[in-house]
Amino acid sequence: MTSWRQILDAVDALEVGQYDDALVAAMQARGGAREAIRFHVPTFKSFASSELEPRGSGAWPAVSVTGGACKLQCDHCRAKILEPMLPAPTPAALWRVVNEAIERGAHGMLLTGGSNHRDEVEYGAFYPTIRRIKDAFPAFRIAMHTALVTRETAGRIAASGVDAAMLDIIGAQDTVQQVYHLRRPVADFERSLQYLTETRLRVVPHIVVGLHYGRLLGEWAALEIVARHRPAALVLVVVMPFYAPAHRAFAIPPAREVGRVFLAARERLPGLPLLLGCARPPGRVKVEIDAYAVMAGLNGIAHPSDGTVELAVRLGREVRVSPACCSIAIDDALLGLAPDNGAAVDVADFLRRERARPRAVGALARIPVVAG
Amino acid sequence: MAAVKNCNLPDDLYYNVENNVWARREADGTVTVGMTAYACALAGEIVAYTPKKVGRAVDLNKSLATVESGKWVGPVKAPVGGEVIAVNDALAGNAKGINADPYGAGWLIKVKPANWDADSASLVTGSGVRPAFEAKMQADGFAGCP
Repeated sequence: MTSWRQILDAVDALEVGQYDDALVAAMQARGGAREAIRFHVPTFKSFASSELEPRGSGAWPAVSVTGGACKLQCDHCRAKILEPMLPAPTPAALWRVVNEAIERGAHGMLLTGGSNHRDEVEYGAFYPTIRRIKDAFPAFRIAMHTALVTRETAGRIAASGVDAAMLDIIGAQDTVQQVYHLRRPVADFERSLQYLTETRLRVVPHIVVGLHYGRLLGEWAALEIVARHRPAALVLVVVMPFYAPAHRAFAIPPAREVGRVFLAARERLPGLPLLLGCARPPGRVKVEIDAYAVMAGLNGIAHPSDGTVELAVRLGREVRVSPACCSIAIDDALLGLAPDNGAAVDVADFLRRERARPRAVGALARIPVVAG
Repeated sequence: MAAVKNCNLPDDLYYNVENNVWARREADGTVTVGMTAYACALAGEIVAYTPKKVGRAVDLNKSLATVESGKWVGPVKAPVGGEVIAVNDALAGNAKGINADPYGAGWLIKVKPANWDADSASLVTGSGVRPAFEAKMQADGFAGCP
C-alpha cells in the first residue's frame, strides 16, 4: 500500500511545503479520506490555478450593508475584509446592487456588514428588501453573515428568505475580549447558533483557526459548541495576520497545528460537511494547509492551492468544482437541490495528463498516479 | 521605455502580453522572468510569492510561481520553458517588493531556457510592445497604473 507521504511527495506543486510525517500517517490511519470533495472558486476574489480555470467575475459578489464601516475593529481584521466588498448602506442601495449584480450574471451573494459594539450586524432596515429580492429572484441565493443574534433576530432572518446563515463561533473568553474587544460571554455565541438552528435556515458556522493572535486556544471548545447543535455544515478558516496592528501582532499558525484541528474536527463531527473557507494565510503555509485539508477528509475547499486537486485525485476522491460560495453549495448538494451541483472533474482525463507530464528524476518520480 | 496608461513597459524586454509577464535574456544565456507593471497594478499589493523549486522543469505557459494579493490569486505563467535555476528569496517575506520594482528587485525566477530561440519568437519586444499592451488594456477596460 502506498503511503500518503509518498503520494504527497509525488505531487510537484505541493513540494514547496513541508509536512509532518506523523500527522500525515495519522490522517491515513483514520481510514482515509474517501468521500467526494468539492473545490469552490467563488468570485469574492479573482482566482486561478494551474488546475482550475478562472471563473467569470461577479458570479458571487460580497455585499456589505455598512460599506467599510465596523465598530468592533477586531485585531485580526480592523474592517479591512469589508473594503473590497460592494457597499449597500441603504435598503435602496441593496436593491440596486443586487439588480446590477444579477444583470452581470450573479447567482447569489454573500451579504454581510460591519458589527456594532455587541458583535451584531444591524440588518433591521434591510429585511423587507431581502424579502423583496427573494420574492423577485427566488433562484438568487443569499448567504448572510449574521454575527450574534437574538431569537427574535434569527426569526426575522429566516422570514426574510435568506438561504444560509453564517457566524463565527469563538470558544475562548480571552479571545472574545482581547481580539474582538467584546464584552459578551462565549455562551452568547452558542446561544446564537442555537437560535439560528431552531429556524428553517441552513446554518453554517465558521471557526477561525488561530484567532487568538495566531495561537490555538478556543478551537476545541468551539468544535464542542458546534457538535451540540448540528448545523448544516462547518466552515473552517485560518486567521490572516496581515491587518493586525504592530502592538497586537498575529503569528501565522503553523500548518501542522491547523491540520490537527482539521483532523480533530473530522473525528469529532463525523458526517457533518466540513469545508475549508476562503480565508487563510497565503504562500507556502496555504499549500500545506490545503494538503492537510484533503488528507483530513474535509468535504470542500475554497480557492484551492495548486496541487490540491491532483492530491485529491491521487487519493481516490471524486472531485467536483463549483463557482459558488461553499456555505451555500455544499448544502444544495446534500439536499439534492441542483442550482449548482458543481462540475465533475474528468478524472480519467486528469490522470492521462498527469501521467504524460514530465516529472522530476529521482526516487519519487515513478510513483503512479492512481484513482480509486 | 514604453509607457502605456502610466504603466512602464521597458521595450528591451520580451513579453507574453496575454499572460502579462516579461523575460530578459542575460549575458550568460539564462532568462530572468517577472510580472509586468500592468499585472502588478491589476493585482494590487502582493502579499505572497510561492515559486517553483530550483532544479524543477517549467513548461512554456505553465505556472512558475503562485502570487497572491488581497483581491487576486493565480499562477504566473512562464514565457519560456526550461529549468528553474534561481528564485528570488528576497521576496519571501516581502512580496510587495514585486509591486515596488517589477523589472528589477521584484524579479520572480531565473530559468535556463530549453529553447530560447523558439520560445522567444512568440514574445513581443521593441516597437511591438506599446501597441500590443494598448490593445490588451483596451480589451481589459483597464483604467491605468497608479
